[in-house]
Amino acid sequence: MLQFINVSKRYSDSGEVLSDICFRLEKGEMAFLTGHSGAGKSTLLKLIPVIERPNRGQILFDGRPINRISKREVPYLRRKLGLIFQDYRLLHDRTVFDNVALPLLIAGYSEQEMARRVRAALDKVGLLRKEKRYPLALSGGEQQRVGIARAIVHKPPMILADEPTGNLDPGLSAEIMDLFKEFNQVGVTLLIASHDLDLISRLGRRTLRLQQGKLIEGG
Amino acid sequence: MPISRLKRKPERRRETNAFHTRRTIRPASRLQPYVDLHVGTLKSSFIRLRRTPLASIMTVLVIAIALTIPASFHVFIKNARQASSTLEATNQVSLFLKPELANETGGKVAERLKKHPQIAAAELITKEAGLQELRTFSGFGDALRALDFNPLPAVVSIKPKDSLTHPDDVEKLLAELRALPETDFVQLDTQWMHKLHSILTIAQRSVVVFSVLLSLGVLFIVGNTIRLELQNRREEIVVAKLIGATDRFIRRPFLYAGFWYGFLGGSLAWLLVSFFLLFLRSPSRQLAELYGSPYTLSFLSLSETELLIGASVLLGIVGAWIVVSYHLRELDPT
Repeated sequence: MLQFINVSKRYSDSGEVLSDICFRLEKGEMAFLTGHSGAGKSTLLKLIPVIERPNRGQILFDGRPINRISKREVPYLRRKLGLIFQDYRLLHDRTVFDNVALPLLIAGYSEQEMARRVRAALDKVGLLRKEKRYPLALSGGEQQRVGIARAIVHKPPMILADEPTGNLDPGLSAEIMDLFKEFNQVGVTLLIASHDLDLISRLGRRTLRLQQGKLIEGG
Repeated sequence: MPISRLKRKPERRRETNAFHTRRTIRPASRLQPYVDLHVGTLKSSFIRLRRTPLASIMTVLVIAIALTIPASFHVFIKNARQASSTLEATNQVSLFLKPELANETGGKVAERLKKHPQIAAAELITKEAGLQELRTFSGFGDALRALDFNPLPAVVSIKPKDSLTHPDDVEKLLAELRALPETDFVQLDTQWMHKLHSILTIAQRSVVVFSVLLSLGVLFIVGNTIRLELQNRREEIVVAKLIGATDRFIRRPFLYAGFWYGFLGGSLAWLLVSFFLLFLRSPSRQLAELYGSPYTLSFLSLSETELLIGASVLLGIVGAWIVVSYHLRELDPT
């Protein structure tokens, strides 16, 4: 599904953030990406939806080298991914329904199909009753669940989550992880960046550990 | 067949598993989501405009004013041109009889001139009729009433035949008329027409210059409004990009906003020009009567209206396009 081959990324102001990263994620795998803050977790995740491009090396997604795709192709690549953020990144002037519908709107779904899928996604995260609310009227855990619904509504083969539970208490974090496990059971590939080592160890999944830009474990 | 297909559930999916499906869209229904999207964007961009009524109204107003100036100037010149051409068609010659001659002599002169081969019509304006006209239209009514005699001569108003166009021929006819014993003097009303025409031509050129400059102004107004809107929706754009929105998708609502600004501004400009003309209608009618012309003020024609609103819409869309394309790169997620 995803393969990093000798990938390096350097920024002119902070030097090499990722050096010589090699790993392979199989279809249907669920893996964690961990390490101290500044170890390069976020940068690594940004390379996959081409928010950043590597300076060296190759990244294969579904067998295609995505480090070289043109700017025009980037949106279509991103539609195959579900992105989940620590700060949720919801649009506060739109209802929960409209937030979740955004990926479908972008992909040009018909209205009926959109409504059907949005409700299915909201049902999955247990927020069907709150579709008419605005994000700020929801708790942090609920907001993140809206973010998750938005990431899965278009049924991407892979989900990338950057510290999805970073702002949540342990109880809510566990709920979110349960959701991820459910998605994984139906075949979705997941890569979750987190520094919550307790949570990670309890799940007992593969863990990629970054330290100062190098992959020191799980590669 | 196509209609029943459109009405059917727009797509049929083949599920490989609960989270990974391939969409197979039938060709006949492929257009429907696209149409939905555009109609939806048209509506939502208008709703967005209404959400900030003051800012939107100001933008529309500024566009309208910027377009009203060249448009009304154009209509003004168009009317002046049409008015002068109806007058020119009459190519009027006024033959003023010697003041001591009576109306009857004038009548005989008129009758005689009607038979002239180069004259189409000759009509006597009696001393009394002349005075009446002067009283009604000159504004000197009271002053004229104070006179105890009529100082005006009888006038024969002559319309030469249409075939008489060459200046030399006209001059020959004038010389002939001047030589008549009853003539005091002869006046041809075309000289100032030529001058007027050159002035109108200059004015028309300046309308073109004005239009270009003010169109640029409209472009900047729309551009600036859209730029502010872009800034307000920064977060939304970044999120949309992350989720896989193409530049085209992001640009679309702004282009529609530009469309609305242009359309509303152009329509308002049309209204303003029409009000301006209504305001001028009654004085211009008086002016036309003064010249004995059947001329009535003409408003913006259908094609001019289309041009005004069409150009305004185009400027709105182009202004939005330039700004969005320019700023879209800055809004890449980091």
